[in-house]
Amino acid sequence: MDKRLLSKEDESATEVQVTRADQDKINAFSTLHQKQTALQEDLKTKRQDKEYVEEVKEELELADEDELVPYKVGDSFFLLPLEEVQELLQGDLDGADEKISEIEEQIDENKGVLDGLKVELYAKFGKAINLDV
Amino acid sequence: MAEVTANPRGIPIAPFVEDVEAFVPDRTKIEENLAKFQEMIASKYQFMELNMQRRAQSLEEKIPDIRKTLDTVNFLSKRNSDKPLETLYELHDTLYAKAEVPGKLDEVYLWLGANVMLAYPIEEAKELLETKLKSAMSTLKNCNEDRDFLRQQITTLEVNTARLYNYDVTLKRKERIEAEEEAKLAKA
Repeated sequence: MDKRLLSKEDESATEVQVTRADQDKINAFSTLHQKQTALQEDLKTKRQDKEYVEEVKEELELADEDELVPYKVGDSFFLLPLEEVQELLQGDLDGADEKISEIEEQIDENKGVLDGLKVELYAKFGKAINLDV
Repeated sequence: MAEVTANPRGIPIAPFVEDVEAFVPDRTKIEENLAKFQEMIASKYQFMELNMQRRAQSLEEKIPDIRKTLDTVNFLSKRNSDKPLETLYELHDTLYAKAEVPGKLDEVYLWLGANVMLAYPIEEAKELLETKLKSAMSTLKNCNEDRDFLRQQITTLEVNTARLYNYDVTLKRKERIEAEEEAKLAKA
């Protein structure tokens, strides 16, 4: 973050009164902002995981149908017929899709709230507050 | 109406300074109060935050473990065949061994800790693990809420500090200007 000295004009802006309601908004913004970062991180890993499952599924299209495939549940591998593994993988994919859209929804919702707070806080404090990091 | 002074788990709300001028009528009190805020941040809220963070971390490690076990139990409970199931289980890190699991299981053994393992009918094991998972998740949720709450209190105190400090600067400047003007008057 750039540290800059406040000019005289900016400084006078810092004399705006901060009320409890403003403080609550600042707090809400900071919490939500932090949460948003964590969610984005989460989304990235979930997408990556899904990609792995997709790859495995494609790879298995070429596998020998008579051979058993080790499928991991918990910490162990279970040797299962190819068809069953594919069903299980499809289940995993559906589950992943569901989780991903859940997170995406949450992120969108948070973004709306964050933008609203930003507008309100900038309107009141102008240059005295910096919400874009 | 009683004012809320703590969150549901008894963490106190940080004081908020509504009106800086009324809060410190005397400039000598500013430094004292700044130090007080600093101390609240560091030894009260940040200390609690660190504790909470540790708790959340250990829960975050525990939850995947429970989930894995539950997944396995769920998987096994759905199987119903005469043929035994061939498996590779983790004997040690990076070392897997083969084992045969009966195609239809009535019982599983759950490690309860403290060197105790107990046999459970498979449905009961499921229930137990589900309850455990649920309670771990709700504790984690509370824990994270507390962490958010703590951060908010720290932010409040930081804003207090900044405003008090700024007020101090303005006062100092005013004093200096006044002193200069007085000096001018005295000369003239």
